[in-house]
Amino acid sequence: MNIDDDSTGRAVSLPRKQIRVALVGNPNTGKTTLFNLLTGLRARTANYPGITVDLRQGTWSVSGRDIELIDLPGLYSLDAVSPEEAVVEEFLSGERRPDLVAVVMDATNVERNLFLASEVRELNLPTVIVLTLSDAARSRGVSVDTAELGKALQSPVIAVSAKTGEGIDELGAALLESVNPSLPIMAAEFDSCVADCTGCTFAARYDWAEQTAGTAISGEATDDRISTIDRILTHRIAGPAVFLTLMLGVFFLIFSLAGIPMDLVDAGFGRIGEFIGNLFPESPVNRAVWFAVIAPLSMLVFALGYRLAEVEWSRMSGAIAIAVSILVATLQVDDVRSLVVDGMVAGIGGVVIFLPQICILFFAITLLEDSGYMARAAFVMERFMRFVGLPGKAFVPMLSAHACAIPGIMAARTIDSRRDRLVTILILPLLTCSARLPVYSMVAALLFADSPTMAAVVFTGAYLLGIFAALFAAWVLRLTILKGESQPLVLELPPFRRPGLRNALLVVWDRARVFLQNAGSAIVMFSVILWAMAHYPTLDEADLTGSAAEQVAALRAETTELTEDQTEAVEAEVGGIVARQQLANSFAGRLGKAVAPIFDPLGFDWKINVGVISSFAAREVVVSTMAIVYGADEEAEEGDTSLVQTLRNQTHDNGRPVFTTATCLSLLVFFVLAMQCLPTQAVTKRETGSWNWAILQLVYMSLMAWGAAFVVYQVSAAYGLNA
Amino acid sequence: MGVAGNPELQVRLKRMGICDRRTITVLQAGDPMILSVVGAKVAVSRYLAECVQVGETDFAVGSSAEANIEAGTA
Repeated sequence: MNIDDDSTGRAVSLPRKQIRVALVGNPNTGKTTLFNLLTGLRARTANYPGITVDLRQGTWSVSGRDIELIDLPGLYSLDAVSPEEAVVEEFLSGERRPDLVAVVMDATNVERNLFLASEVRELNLPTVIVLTLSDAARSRGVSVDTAELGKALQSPVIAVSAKTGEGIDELGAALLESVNPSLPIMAAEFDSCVADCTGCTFAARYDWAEQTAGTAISGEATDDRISTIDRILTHRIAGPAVFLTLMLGVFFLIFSLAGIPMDLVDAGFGRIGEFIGNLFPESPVNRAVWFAVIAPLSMLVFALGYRLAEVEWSRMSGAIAIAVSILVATLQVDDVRSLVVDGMVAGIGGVVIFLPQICILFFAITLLEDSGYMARAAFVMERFMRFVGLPGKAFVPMLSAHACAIPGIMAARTIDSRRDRLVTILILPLLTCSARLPVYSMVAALLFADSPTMAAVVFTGAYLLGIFAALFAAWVLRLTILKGESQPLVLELPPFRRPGLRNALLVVWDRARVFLQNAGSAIVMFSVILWAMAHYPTLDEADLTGSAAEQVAALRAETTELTEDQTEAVEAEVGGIVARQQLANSFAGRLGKAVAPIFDPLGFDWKINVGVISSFAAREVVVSTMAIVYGADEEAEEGDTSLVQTLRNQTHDNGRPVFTTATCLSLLVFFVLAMQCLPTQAVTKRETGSWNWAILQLVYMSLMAWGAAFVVYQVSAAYGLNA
Repeated sequence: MGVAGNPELQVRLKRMGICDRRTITVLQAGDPMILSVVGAKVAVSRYLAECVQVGETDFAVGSSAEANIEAGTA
């Protein structure tokens, strides 16, 4: 930091290579649009130590000098009543204070914006006033005397238009001039008439703003009437109807448009895995040569991963990279191939596959937000949501979570209060996302294969259970660890404006990058751990014992008399037996048996437990895992007859069926309520700034899932549904 | 006009311009209601609106819903 205090207490800027400029302003002033215009793709969301709120920063080159712009959260005054506002206050007055503050003001309503501008001006930092929407003000007959306004604020005033680029060059010149002024900045000269005020300082500051606007502004921009469109959008009945229609449209877009790119991502990563798998040698290789190739490659992967996840090289991170690289280089060729293909590539694919949904959702939400509509949506939903202690703004994330909890959690950023945001984030994974559908399909097929109506009832019941569980959890959280009422609504309804496509695309770009960088790195790490748990200790055909060995021996004995196709079928069957035994013998399989006492009361056998454990990373994995562990076709789809039939044929040692109605209902309830989604956990950590909230989410959902499944199983069994 | 309630709620209202010597127009009654203040439309829940006390001379009537802001003295 290059701000020093001289002997007179004045803040003096010293020359430096890069200038740090903070953008400050009321919400809806076009501050972020201006930031995006100036920084474009060079902007990134930055994590600052000790700050849980994201700050976007980017570089703007002006006359050969780099200006680092920091887009601070929008606020109405420096009297912080939310964590975001506290961040701004701390940023402007603490150790991180910038070289210069650019106060962004809406030219169509200068009087309101003057309140914050006067507070910022009293910080005695070099300040430039940026008047946005100046073209909109002109078209409404509003004229701003920038010289008069500059005189009142003792700062240069530059009128700009993010649409036409008008005033941008002048803004750059003014920033450079103001950060290194020809004359020292004089402290305590600015007087907004509140210094000696003994009454209400807010009223005094607004009096000053009214007086200043009266001399600097001519023309009338404000409209004290409520428009017809606002009457409809905020109407008690029409408002929610319009909102639900718009949201249905957004979700239709997500489901109809995201399917194709998601399939492409899935197929693409399948191809990549196949391609990388084929790069590995089939024949044995010299161990020393193998080590010399794999160890540096592994270090390269770590370097890339650390760079993407913004992990700094330290003794600890360096030691981990070296130790893991050495370990990987000592593995057999087949193990390394499986690690890369089944662990890393599949793990990365499991992250990237969510991107289309995230991008479409944020694109639509940004357009709606920029148009001014989302404030109206929060207004109409406020009436409904407050019954469970949630703000109206929580409704959009809750709807989004029905596609996927991840974009829902990221959409919760629009909720102002940290308490309300935390409650919303904690309950969102209870809402049925698309990843649960394979499990619902499997259970519906197990219970009601011949009755589409009853299968639909299963689906509807599962959705309703998720919704009621989420509302119940919000109510309980409000009464316990996040005590208090939701923040009463005070929300500006901004004027309707045409949203900008460029701005929406830049927001999507930023959200996608944040998701891949932060959530992606954690997901890949855990995917590799789960791969190792399901892969080790390894088991070959020669290691088989008992009935499995006898089955393989019997199959091999017939091979000599078979055609080529039949031989391939036998090899596939042997492969399936080895895979099942491998999984049963793996750490995951052993864990499945070890946790049997926990899941027995839910009617689960150890094989279902393996499914539960393996689906910790992603719940949809349970179907393919159960297909393997029960010996059905590994590629079986969720409603596939072969899988369902195989599951129906499973019996306990005493001959009782495994998948009774009671067990199926218990399994369904468990998967409706259980966390079982590592990407969501990683995003929860990311958005709350702490693993503690992610762990709480995992623990309370797991306990709720176990408790509800226990009740369902025991009650169903008592009513004779366990036979 | 006066604003009561806990300090945080007072700050949230006052910084929006819902404070002494400002003109407030009720644009749409209900809960939440829509007010016009310092050139902006602001939605406020009834709970918060009940923290605002206005004197009769302070009224600026934009609709027939002025009674939703509790009448009183500043």
